[in-house]
Amino acid sequence: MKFKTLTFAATIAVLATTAVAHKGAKGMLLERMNGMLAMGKATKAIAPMMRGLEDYDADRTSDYAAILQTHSGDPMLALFPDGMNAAPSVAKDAIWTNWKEFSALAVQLETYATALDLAAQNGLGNAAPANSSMMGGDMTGMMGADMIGMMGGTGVDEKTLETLAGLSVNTLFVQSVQVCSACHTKFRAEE
Amino acid sequence: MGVVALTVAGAGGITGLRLYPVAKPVDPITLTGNVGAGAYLARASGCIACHTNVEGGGPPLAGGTGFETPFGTVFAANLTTDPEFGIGDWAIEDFAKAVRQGLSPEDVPYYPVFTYAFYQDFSDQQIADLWAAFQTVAPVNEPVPVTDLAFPFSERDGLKVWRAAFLHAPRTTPVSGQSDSWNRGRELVEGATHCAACHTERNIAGGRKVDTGRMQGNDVLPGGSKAPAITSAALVSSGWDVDSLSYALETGITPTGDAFGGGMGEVVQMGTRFLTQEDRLAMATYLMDQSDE
Ligand code: HEC
Ligand code: HEC
Ligand code: HEC
Repeated sequence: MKFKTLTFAATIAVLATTAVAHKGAKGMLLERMNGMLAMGKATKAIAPMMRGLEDYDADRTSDYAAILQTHSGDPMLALFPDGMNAAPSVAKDAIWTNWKEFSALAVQLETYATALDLAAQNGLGNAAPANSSMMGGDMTGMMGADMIGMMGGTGVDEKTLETLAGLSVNTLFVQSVQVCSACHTKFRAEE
Repeated sequence: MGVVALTVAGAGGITGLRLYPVAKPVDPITLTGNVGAGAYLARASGCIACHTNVEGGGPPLAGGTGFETPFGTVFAANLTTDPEFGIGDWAIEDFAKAVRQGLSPEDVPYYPVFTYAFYQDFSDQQIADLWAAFQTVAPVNEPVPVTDLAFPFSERDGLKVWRAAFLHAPRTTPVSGQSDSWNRGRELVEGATHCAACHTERNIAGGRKVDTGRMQGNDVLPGGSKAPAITSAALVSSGWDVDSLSYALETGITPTGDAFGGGMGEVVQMGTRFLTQEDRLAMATYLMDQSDE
């Protein structure tokens, strides 16, 4: 099992480094893009397991978490020096005018990744979508409590690492990707 | 043509247009609404997403979200039960006319930024469900900023001309010979979830090119973003299938492992992720096979 895991991690590493000259980017921009691409490739590779289509393997979850940790938080932020978004970058100016929110999302992803690693042994959890609760039968009105939570964006800001680490792996996975999406929604332009 | 017509209307014809009737009569709606079904539909239809100023930290459904158009900014209305600034003093028939016909209680047209065109086929039961759900929203006694577009677009009566030219019926009617799931997907995609609002190119007057541009993408969305083509052929060539598409509508994860951004991130975060698995599957089934024309 350990062998398989290593192969997985190694494959990801190779995939990440073979993306040289991606869109003609160079230097720090290329490094930034490769970091994002590495997270994308890892997410693609792990998704079938997270959906319960492949057998659960806690080591794979930890490897995935490690990849996200490598490319989120401070390491990610270091690759976004002030105003570095000339083509081929599609990073928006809003990153630097709203650095507080941008950096909070980068750090949030790191927190989720750490929680994923801690939760790896908890197992996948129920394969049902993590977010369907708001539409559950117990909803009494349009403004049910879950909905208010939803209104605060991804609603994860105040959750501590301990609370997060108690969640099932597939819930954490889906919520981690919501952080990616929340950041892309605000801070990445379309090509 | 639309701009010309609108300009002409703006220059001289607005007084006449004011008297030009556009409203279809609304029969009394006496059905009992189901709050849960209404909240589900409100979520799917984006009412909550557009009418909540998340960015500005505004309370749910109190409006105030601004939509940039080439003609100025249009602000979403306060839809809470407040009688002064919300819709607390409306009758269900007023609500039905606003949602299905895009007309105020006084028959003044709304700007098409409000996606009412996609809700034209909502049944009386669906209207009653939505209405019941909106009754549960706490009142917020606050006005939204005033929408102030450049003349002639400031003249809402000019929209009557726009409506005559560009208000198309949604393609939600079931197609016989297709599965229930496909037809359900069609109803959601072409109606409530209004995918074409962003994914269909618009002409210079902001009308959707429903004949030539259907789901062909749009490079000039409000705020300067772009939506790619999502015809069945385009989806296949970018690597989508029914499974990956319904998974993306749940999680925002694309077939390459990327996560949706732009307006699409919000569509998933505030809308499709709350739908049932069956509904997402139905939408994906229809999208991968939009074969009826
Ligand atoms: C804090 C903000 C932020 C977070 C969190 C984030 N991204 Fe990104 N991502 C960006 C920005 C900005 C770009 C555009 C970078 C550029 O073009 O300069 C980007 C680009 C990408 C790209 C395209 C890379 C390319 O050059 O083709 C992929 C793939 C991607 N991100 C995947 C992910 C995944 C997967 C996650 C979560 C596991 C994630 N990102 C989390 C901000 C973020
Ligand atoms: C894409 C954004 C968007 C979506 C989705 C949307 N609306 Fe709106 N809505 C608006 C805007 C903008 C206005 C203001 C239009 C104007 O001023 O002409 C508006 C106006 C209204 C009004 C008129 C309120 C008044 O006080 O006159 C009602 C009622 C309404 N919307 C209900 C709904 C319902 C119900 C839904 C879901 C079924 C919905 N809207 C979905 C943007 C949206
Ligand atoms: C508010 C505007 C908006 C609405 C409404 C919208 N989309 Fe999108 N869509 C976008 C944007 C912008 C992108 C590009 C996303 C990105 O760059 O990450 C996109 C991308 C997509 C993609 C990826 C296509 C590709 O080739 O990679 C799919 C699939 C999609 N949308 C489906 C839908 C469906 C289904 C609906 C209706 C439920 C919908 N969209 C409604 C704006 C929208």
